[in-house]
Amino acid sequence: MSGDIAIDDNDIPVSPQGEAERIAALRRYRILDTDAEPAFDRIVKMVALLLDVPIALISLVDTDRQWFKAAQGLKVRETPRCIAFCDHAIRGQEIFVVPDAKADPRFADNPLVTGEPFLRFYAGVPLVTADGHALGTLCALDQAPQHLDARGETILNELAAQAMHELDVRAALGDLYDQVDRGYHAQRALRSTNLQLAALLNATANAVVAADSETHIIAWNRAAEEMFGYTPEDVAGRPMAYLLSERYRAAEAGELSQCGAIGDGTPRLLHGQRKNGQEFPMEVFLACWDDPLAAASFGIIVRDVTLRSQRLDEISRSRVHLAEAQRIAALGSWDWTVDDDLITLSEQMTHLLGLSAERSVTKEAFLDRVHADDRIAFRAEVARVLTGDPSSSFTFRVRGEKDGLRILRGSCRLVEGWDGRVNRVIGVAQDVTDLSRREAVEREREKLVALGELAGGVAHELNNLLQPILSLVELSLGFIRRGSLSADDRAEMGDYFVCVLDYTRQGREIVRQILRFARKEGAILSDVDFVAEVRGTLGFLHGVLPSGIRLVTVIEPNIVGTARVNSVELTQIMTNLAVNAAYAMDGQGRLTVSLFEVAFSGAACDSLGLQPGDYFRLSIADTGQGMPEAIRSRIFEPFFTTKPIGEGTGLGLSVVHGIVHSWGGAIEVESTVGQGTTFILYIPKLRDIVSHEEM
Amino acid sequence: MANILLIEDMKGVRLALCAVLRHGGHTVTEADDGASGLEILRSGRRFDLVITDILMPTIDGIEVIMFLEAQSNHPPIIAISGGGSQMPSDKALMLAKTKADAVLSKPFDNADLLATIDRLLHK
Repeated sequence: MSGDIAIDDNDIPVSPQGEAERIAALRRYRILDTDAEPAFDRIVKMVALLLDVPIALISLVDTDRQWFKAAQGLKVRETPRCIAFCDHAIRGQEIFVVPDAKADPRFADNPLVTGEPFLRFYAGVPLVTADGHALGTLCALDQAPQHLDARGETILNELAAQAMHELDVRAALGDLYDQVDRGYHAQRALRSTNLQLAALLNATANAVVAADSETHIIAWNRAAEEMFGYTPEDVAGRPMAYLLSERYRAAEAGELSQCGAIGDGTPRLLHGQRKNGQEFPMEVFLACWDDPLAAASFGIIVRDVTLRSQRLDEISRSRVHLAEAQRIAALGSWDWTVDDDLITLSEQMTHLLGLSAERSVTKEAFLDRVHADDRIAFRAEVARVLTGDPSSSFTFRVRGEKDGLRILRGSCRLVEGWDGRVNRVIGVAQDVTDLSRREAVEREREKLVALGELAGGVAHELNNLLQPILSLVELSLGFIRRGSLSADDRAEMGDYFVCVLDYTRQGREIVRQILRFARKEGAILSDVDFVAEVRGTLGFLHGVLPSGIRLVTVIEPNIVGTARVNSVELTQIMTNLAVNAAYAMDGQGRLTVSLFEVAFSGAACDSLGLQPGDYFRLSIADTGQGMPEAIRSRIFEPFFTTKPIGEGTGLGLSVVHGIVHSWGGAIEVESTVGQGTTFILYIPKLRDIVSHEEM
Repeated sequence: MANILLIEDMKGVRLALCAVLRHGGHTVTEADDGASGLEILRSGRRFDLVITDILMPTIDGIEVIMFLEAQSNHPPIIAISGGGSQMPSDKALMLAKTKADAVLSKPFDNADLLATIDRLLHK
């Protein structure tokens, strides 16, 4: 047939009713949008080969599109119906040929002709159902004009019939086709799931073990192999209880077979055992399910919690340790996150604040425990820390539980919170009530000891004065009682009384000093002849030192000068240092007291914290055991003592330090272990202005 | 009457006791500290009695007494003590340590001193 006739034949409009029926027929075939199938693919391949065209299609014409069940030489799977050559072909029952689309007024403007894929030739045979509906075409296309000869027409007709047959077979198989299709998809989905599961199972560090309903192990993952140390062959068929520690197996095996709620998510903490016998704590999640093949119906997920158990142990041990340490030290701690109104208290802090069991209180409740007079100061200290002071320390009183006011020494510090913000204040407070009382008692005791030492020295001095007075007065009385006195007797008695007068006056001076001390006039400084004061004190030292100590005095010749000190305190200091020295020498050794004059300027002043000028350098050196640096650096601290408990108060040197500083002087100590210790006092020497002007 | 060595570093005490002893009829040799006292004793001079102070610088009375104790047939010793801070225990300790024949605590009466000397010389 010629193309012209074909055009006329196929240009008959289709009635709406006929089209609806045709679409219904197409739907019945359930072919649209199905996957490619070899039977159809083969047909279009044959068309392309046999007719020597680049493009061949099985096109099904839908409501407003043509969809290709099979396509050779074309990548698209569908095009709009309005531009479809096939829409023309299906209006007839016979082959529809367009030898050159450019020369055909119906197709010259078709976008498939003017643009990609630049079609020129079309030959399509309608695929007509038994009841006469053309579902689409089998068509051949080329980008060059072509003439379809009789042989070509026959081939296309035969193959179209074959395509229609395949469509009919496919429709006849119907549901079976779908089932095969669904099975194919389900299989692929299953395979994908299996791959995902396998990947996940191998990626986790948790052991995953599957077992049958009798809990015999069927499979497990790599982590299980590593955790327990068994190969899959080692454990296959063994009960899961095999993974439990031998010691606990009997008690815990039941846990592994009781699976109440599927995936209840509640872990059991059990004792595992590795192949090498090592026990470890494990956290076990149980799962069970109804398996259709009854292959596996039971599973466990095991997490090795050795590290966590150790951490928990450590944490709980440190907690106990901290609480115990706080209890022993009577030291509590508190923690306040600034944004929050609540302050967290340690157990000991709760106790110190006189609260019963509260471990967390509001700011106001905390301050309420603080003595009313100390609240403002307490707030100020916390505020100071909040505004940038790195830390603060202070003393405050709290109302105790039953025994009245307690004195707490506290300090606090601003710290970084867990979220990196600097908004937490952490504080500690220690009960120093007893310590404060003890300090007061110790201070008093120290005073008595110092007084006792002083009294001993004074007694010795007085006795040595009273002895000649007593003896000489008695002798003189003997002379007088004898009646007649010779001139020699009178002269001798005169000498006696000169001595008696002198000794009595010396005694009076000693008594005056004692009274000054007793009236606590100690702190009053006066300008004294420093050298004479030192010499005077050396007399006391004789009476105080044990007999095994040799006292050597080295005083710079012709040294004179005045210092503004307190004589009683000077005696106290020298006595204290001498007694310490005697202790360091264990009663045997040499004590050297030296007095020189020195002039200070510049760096020498800075290191000692002194003003430039002239100083008396009074040193007291012993040949005792000396001190290591750790002790040397602390000796001026109050209560620091190296003496056994009960022998020393530790206050002596801190008092000495305080007194020397109150005179504007300084004290330093040099010590070599095994050789001895030297205390050096620098006392400002007053410039004797009056005598200077007189000169 | 006796030939007595008096060792005492406090000048006032030494002078007064010397006067008492001389008026009591004794011959007195004075030493103004422990060192010179020991020197005199070591020189071989013999005394009927030695009186020594306890607390003295460098060589004290205890050393003097220990020196005498080491000699056979040593003269009787009287220790005189000025007393220190721990008087009561100090005295007992001193007696035990020094083995002095008598201890007198300053200030003592002349009569006590002379009576003690008398007692020790006629024992």
